[in-house]
Amino acid sequence: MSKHLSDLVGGVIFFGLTLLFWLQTTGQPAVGQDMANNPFWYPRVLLILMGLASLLLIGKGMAKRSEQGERIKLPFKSIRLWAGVGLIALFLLAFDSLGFLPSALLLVPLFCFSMGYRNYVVVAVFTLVFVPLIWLVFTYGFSIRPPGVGLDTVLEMIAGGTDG
Amino acid sequence: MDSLLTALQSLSDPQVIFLVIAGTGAGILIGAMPGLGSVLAITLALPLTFVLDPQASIILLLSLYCGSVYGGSLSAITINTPGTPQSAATLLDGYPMMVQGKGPQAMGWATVGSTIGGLLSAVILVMAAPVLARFGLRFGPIEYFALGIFSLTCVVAVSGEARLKGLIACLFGLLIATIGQDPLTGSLRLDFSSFELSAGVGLIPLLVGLFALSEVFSRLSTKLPATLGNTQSGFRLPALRDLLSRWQILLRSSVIGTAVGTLPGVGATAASMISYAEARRVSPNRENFGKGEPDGLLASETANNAVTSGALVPTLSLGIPGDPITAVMLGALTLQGVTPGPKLFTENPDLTTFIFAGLFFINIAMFALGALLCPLFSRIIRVPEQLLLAAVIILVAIGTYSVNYSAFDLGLMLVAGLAGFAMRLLGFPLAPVVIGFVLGNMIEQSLRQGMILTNGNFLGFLESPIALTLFVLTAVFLALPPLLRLIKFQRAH
Repeated sequence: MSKHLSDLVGGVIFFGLTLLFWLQTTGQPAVGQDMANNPFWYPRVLLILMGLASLLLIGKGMAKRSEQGERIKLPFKSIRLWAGVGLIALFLLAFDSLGFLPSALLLVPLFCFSMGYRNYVVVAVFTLVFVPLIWLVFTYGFSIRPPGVGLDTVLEMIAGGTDG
Repeated sequence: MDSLLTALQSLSDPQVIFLVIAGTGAGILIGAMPGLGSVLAITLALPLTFVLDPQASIILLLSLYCGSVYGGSLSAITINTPGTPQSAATLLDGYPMMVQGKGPQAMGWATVGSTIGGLLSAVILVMAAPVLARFGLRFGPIEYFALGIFSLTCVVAVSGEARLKGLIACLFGLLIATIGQDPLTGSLRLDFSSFELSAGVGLIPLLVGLFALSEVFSRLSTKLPATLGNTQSGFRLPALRDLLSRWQILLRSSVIGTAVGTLPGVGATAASMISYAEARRVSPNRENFGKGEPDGLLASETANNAVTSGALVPTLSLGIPGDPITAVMLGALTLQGVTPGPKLFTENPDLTTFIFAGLFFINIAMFALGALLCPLFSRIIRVPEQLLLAAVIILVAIGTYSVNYSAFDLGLMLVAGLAGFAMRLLGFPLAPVVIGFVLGNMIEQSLRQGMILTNGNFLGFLESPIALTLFVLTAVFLALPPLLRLIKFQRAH
């Protein structure tokens, strides 16, 4: 994609955002009649300025779209990028529901392998040291217990299993 | 004097000592990893500030800041790739020295230059910040509004060719800051009928997503190297005689770095480049620049570390951040209930003295860590990037979640990360978004309070001499680039 086309695309995206936000300011009850006390006055000023600037950018991109300029390589065909984005989104979804330890213990090896790093021993050692270490630092160092089953519970379960 | 004693007492606290060493060490490592940089170092640590008191938070963030700026020199010298943009001028002479087998000497010059630059600029900060803060006490809402607009204009003006994109990014940052409760009337606005958004967009998910997560996406879209090449380097201190003979370079570069640091939006990269060019202009060894001349390395590293204290001058004394790093620090302090600005010096002198004393302490710790652990750091930066990115993802997730125990914040961080990545691809600068977001509340409140004071008469804003001066400067900043282009065009035709 040429740099000028990126101006056009960027301008259209921000103009769309301007319209989306503008819709949020319409049909609201008027709290204050004067500008200083109207909560929607200031955001509307910003939206008008952002809309105008976006239109200028669209115009700039349109005017120069035929010119040969600097090119920007878009990575939309990169499987690695989409795999990474998907894995991160799944990890963030699982973080609260599945818990920190299981989701992080799954993320590190899956992420490394899908990104082309295949040194299994290094990945295993890194995962089994780094993830529990972070859990320990947050739980005992900062008194913030990450969600889900904790290392202490796992150790108790293992100890219970051994005793039984 | 009492404040100084209290500050020294606080600095001798084992927790503070630990945070300085850990923060500086982590900063050096993150700064040395090409592409990660100071903003990522600070944003990664931002959620941790919630479990620390204001003093501990600020010392951790400052340690990471100073450490990461210095850390950039490590990869610039050893692998010819600046770890941070601030060290771009360092590799011009640092890497040739490494190739000539003078890697340990290059690391020595970089460490000494960074330390002296940091210390001298801290002295300037101690002298300049209270003076500026006393001047800032004259500021009311109108003056603050004018100052906020001037700062944003500077940040947008230095967005290079992408000035229009910088303006849009800045307006977008200001707009995001308006989401949630109106600060004056308490009415809800722009919340998209979402309960979570009614409290506004959180600083931490936004910043962490915009900088850290978008950096991860950005690196995923490029080919990841398995490991870096030979990164081994030692450390050798320069001889005292050689160092003293270069006192002019040290002093000049420190002043350039501090002065550039105080200007909103210009930053350490420009400071090191200007300092390098100036050192080359006056050096008797100018023909050796670019071939492994210690003068060039010293000028670049002294200036980029001098920026660290320079950038704190407007941040602490006026509450106006000049770059994303100080914007994050300002946000972290505000979240802790500490409002940087002129009143900070009168209402919380212990904290300001602690920050001043802390900067000296951090720079000394940076020197010690650099001298002792430089060979170790240069080996650690060989960690495969895939492992590094996985670690960053885990740290940003747990850090962001921990602030409010909120899954919504994780979603917001992901959206901010994707938005930041898209903006990078389309050539929109990220710094104006952050600075706009951080300053948004102050600008809106001061504008509306000013309008109440002037009965809605905008011309009344121009009656304040300070505001008028700032508005004129803003107009000059806005008009200068198109005027220069016009003159250039007319000369060409």
